[in-house]
Amino acid sequence: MPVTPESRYEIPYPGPDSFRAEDADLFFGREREAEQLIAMILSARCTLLHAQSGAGKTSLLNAVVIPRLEARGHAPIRVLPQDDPMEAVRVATLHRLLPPPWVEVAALERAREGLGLRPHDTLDRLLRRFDELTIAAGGDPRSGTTHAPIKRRLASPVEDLAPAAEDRTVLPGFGAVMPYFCRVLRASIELATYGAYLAGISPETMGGAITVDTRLGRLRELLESPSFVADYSELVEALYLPVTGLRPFFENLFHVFAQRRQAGSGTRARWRQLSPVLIIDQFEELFTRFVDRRRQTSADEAAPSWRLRWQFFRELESLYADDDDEPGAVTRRLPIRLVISIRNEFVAQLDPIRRFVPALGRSTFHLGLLSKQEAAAAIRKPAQSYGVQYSDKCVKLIIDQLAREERYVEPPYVQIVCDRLWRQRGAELAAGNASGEIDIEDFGALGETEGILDRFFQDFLHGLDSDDDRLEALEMLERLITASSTRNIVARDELTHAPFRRPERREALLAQLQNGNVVRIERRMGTHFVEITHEFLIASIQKAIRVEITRDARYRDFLAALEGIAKLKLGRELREERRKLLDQLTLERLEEHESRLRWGYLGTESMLRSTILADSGEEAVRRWSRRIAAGDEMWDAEKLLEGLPGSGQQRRLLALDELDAVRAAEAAGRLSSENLEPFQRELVLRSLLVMAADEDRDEVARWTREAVRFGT
Amino acid sequence: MSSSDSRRTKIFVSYSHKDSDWIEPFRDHLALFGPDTVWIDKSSIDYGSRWEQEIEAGLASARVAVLMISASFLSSKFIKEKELPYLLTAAEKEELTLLPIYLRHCVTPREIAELQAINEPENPLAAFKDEPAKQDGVWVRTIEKIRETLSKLILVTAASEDREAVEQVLGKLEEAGLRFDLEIYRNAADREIHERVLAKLSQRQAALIFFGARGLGLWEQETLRQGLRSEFEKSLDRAGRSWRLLSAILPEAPEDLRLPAFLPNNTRIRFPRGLADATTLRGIEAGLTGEWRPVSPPAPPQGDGAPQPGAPAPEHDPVDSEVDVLVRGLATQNLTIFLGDEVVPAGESEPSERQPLRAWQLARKLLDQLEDDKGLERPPLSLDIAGAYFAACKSERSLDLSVRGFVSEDTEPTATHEQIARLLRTLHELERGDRFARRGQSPVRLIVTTNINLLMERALLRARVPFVRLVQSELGEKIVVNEYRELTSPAEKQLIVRTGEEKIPLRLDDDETLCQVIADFGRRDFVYRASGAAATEDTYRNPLRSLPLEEFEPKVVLYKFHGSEDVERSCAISIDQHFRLIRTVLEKDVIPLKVTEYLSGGPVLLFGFGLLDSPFRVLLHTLPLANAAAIDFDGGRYLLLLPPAEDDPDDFRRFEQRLWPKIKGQAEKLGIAVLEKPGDRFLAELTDGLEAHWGREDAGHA
Repeated sequence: MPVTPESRYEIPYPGPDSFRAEDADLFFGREREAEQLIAMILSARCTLLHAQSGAGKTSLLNAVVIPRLEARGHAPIRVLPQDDPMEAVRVATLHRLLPPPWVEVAALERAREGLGLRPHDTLDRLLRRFDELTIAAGGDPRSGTTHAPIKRRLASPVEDLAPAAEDRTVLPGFGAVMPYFCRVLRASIELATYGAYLAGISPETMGGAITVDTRLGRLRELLESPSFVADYSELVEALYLPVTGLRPFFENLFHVFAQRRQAGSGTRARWRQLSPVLIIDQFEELFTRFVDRRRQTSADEAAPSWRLRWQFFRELESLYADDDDEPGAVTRRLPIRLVISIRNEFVAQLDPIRRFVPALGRSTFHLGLLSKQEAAAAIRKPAQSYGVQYSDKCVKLIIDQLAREERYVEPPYVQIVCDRLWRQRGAELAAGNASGEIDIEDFGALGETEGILDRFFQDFLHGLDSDDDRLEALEMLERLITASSTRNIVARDELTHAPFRRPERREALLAQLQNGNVVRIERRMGTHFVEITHEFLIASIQKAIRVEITRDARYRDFLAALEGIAKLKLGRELREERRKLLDQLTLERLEEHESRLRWGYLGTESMLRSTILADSGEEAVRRWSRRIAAGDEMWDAEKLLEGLPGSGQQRRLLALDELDAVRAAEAAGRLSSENLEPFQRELVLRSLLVMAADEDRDEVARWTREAVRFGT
Repeated sequence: MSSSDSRRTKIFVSYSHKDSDWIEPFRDHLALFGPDTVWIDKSSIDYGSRWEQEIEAGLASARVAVLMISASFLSSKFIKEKELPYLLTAAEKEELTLLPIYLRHCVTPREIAELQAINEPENPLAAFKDEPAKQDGVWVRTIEKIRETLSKLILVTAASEDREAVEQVLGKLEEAGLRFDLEIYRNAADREIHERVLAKLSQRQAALIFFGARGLGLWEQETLRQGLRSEFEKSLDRAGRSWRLLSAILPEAPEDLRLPAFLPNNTRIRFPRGLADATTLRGIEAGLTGEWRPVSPPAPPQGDGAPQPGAPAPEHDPVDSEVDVLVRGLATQNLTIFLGDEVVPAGESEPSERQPLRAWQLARKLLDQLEDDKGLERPPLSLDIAGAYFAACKSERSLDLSVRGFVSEDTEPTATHEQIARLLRTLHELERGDRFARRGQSPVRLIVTTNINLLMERALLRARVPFVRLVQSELGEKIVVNEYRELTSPAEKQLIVRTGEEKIPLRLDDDETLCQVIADFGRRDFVYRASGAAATEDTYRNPLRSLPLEEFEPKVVLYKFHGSEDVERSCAISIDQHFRLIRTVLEKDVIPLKVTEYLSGGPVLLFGFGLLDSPFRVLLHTLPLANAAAIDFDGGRYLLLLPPAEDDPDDFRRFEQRLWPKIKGQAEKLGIAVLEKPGDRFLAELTDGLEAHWGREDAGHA
């Protein structure tokens, strides 16, 4: 599933999602703020950007601040804290400064194909053709097709997929990476700088090779050449230092860059001065996710450690501080600028930062909501870029309805309303299938603002195939909301591989959530993370959860039953307190949804035990033992049952006794594989499989080896 | 059992068996380290050749040697002839640490007396014969010392089949000065190894864990993994201690090797280019020491051109190389020029009528105007002090009027002014030719001046450089903006300045009209506290700080920090006014953010400042020049200044002259390099360099 579906570029509004770098030409209404913020970032060494949720911090950074900083010769690096902020800084920095060659190739080929060029065409031709695709800003809507969608697509980041394992560097994959080639297209760097950059990585392969007359095929050849890829990998490894501290990491980085610059001096192929601007976005995550939970529940086990937060503050301080140890030097300051982007309500928690940036108050920028004027620009101008106009009345009405205190407008609402209006009417106007402008009637047809916003989430929910899907989607969304009703981020696997849930089913639901712009999936550092696209959806989701799940008593019972079975620990409790297993109602609910759920050993054995103990009859017992047998050949509980004396319930209970006895012996450490019967060895293995939590995998592996070694 | 590797990781206790009773309690203390780590009991070894061999093995594996000094010890033949010489030599080579403990009074040879001992020779253990508590104190200090020494080792674990590969890696790292404590295990289930490794995890400063064909090997054990995890978590809290952990994944390791998730990815070493690769080894070294060590670039080939040792280095003008660097960078980056009033080269010819006044001359004129104390013997006064004296005698209002009057007298721009204008004109033309960027943003040139005269404006207009002027006025609280753009020149000495629909034709040699135009042109005032405006603003904005300079699309900005002669109540002359300006800047943030942005984005050139001038110091501490120091550019920050003449009429120049090297050093501490060259000549070279460099590029490109 591509992170950026092609259709995204057909609509000039990002909907509830943030603007991205490639959307810069469609971002309007924040000119003044952007310039002030950039001036502040460049004047200070540490800048604080804060705003309320939904004011558009990330959009402002992505669409304006980052491209302009780039154009002014700085290297903005946007970092999200992820699960390890130090590692996130390292990985983001290296991906920003040194995008992998295969990503460059992908961008080059995408542009070549998208612009209809052949490999023997030159770079000059490609750039010219790209520049000719001007966006008809404010142009006549009837002036014909506009090329904005393809322009955006060609300049968008590229998913980092290494062509083959041996080409991988030591660096973990990153997800969407912005190749330098896209920056050349967007003209945030010049072609000469690009050439110098490549030559700096591999002087032998690239030195002096890249000019406007270079053929596209040749550039690709060079980028794919083993010598270039090898030089690239070695450089990345030299920079990806295995130290925990950020200061040594950056000192090394500056040192290596200075050396490369030095090596290129005297030629035009000279690396630029390195001037990183470390932008830590969603800084509040450090306070919402890296916390001491005291009693961790099983779902929280993977939660980031609060220690990492404290360590991260210390590391930021080490980056900011002057290194006084250096003899002779008056100040050894790293030429790094820090930008902290955080939600308003967490500003007070930044004392650990203020401790080493006493003047933080002076370099603090508060991003307000859109004024009415700015909102009007944000509504009109993107459509104009695609050759479509709004009627004045329509713009006024939208703004009047969205405005709070008759003054402010929250950007995501503007985007959702405009996104809907575009689908309703704008698309056909842009395609030339109709004439006129987006007018008040179109707005009315959608139920105006209230209707649009209300329907946004409802539409999505009811677009799902069945009631069950809806309920399960809501369940998944519930995990993406924290106890304090803010956004949570959850690893994709964690969400899809919930206990007893079938992952393929959840994957499909997740894809639908993503396409509907309800959640966003980002690949960061080798793992996919899921989050709700915007805070404002949370209220709608919670409402839906209340209505849909809470009203459905049977489903509620089912969830409780699931919780019950998930809580069962197949340890002493099961052996000694057999009465405490699942009750009849729970069993029924679970049986009812049997086909929707994934039954691992753990669950199946719990069900088997429960059916035995609840005396649900031979049929149910056989069914669950068959299920176990089907799950793994080594576990043929039915055979086990048959090998035992007695009959009926008595025999089944005996089977449990046998199992438990072996397990107890194992637990007491009296077992060693040599003096066990193959049958018993198998039992140990099975019981371990049944109990296997992640931590025990190695034990399972050991006993599997044992079982194989002695032959079962 | 532990490995029999040759690394020094153990504790060797050297004593005379006659002192056995004395050291008996020490054995209990040493038990802490485990029997495999301590080599103490020679009594268990049979005398003879095997005995010597064993002792030699013990000596060879010692990292710490504890010497129990007594007369018996010193007189033992074996100790005197074998052990001691060996240990002293090894200690000399820093292979091991010696810890002498004085057991009894004795005469100590010099080489032992020089060692740092645990206790004083005058207070040997025997002095505390009936005080076991004091004796224990000595033992405890010894144990602590041993621990400290051993903690500098790096714990290494590896499976026996990987020994060869591991030795290869460690061998290289030992060349870099790292010392290892290697635990090779054959049987991963060996509990003895578990206990030892667990103990050492917390005792060593770093751990390097090898994973080979056996996969997780030792670390399949849950207890060990737990131990590792808890050490790792403690290390995150640096309040505890700094402890580092690297995992090295050998090429033989299984592909599906799953390391414990808490190990950060960057500390997992793979060997993509083999075990001996310098980049990888350098990474390991950095990871284990926590410090990064710069690699020196490969030495240039020693060809025929290499200077012979002892031969004088070829003549190399530092100024020339700075010019070279600037020429390359200036076309694409910002530039800030600071301009003071010492632009008239000091000491050069008698000041002519048309030359601008220097600060000391202004000060003299002010004092001369005070009719009522003529004839008073006056001490040498700087302009700011003279200004304060004048204001005290008369008023600040008349200070303002007088100074503006003196400055507006008929003077001509100096060579420095003209060369600045020429440089900016050249850069302007290079840009108009679209030489540098496809569509990128063009850089901004900022001139910050503390001069209040109009000489820079006149020089810029004459050179037809469009610019925006900012005058910080009313001691900070107001900024007057003038914009001079769309300058066209229909004929020599003629200039048409345009504003909206209005066109003003000017004769460039008519200074009076020129000054008039400079004062009035496209003027807009921004005031710190605009009345009424704040009430309608939805968010608070400081109109000076957020001055929207980008709306003027300036390429050249002239920022007059101490006011301007054509703007009333704008000039900061006296020391009070300087302090008030500083206070306003600090309290009210009245410097436009855009100005500081431009300032922090490129090299800085300073002209016309004496190092002791107060305007220079005011600039240094109010404009955040210090921040700019964080970023180094193509080019840095240069002050163009000749050493003052001994007979300079300005007393302050003569001060500087006397202490010139020291004062120069002070500037360098502030990150400003002093180039001893006349400013105008430096600028001329820079402009010539730009024209030559980019002209050549043009030719090459065509």
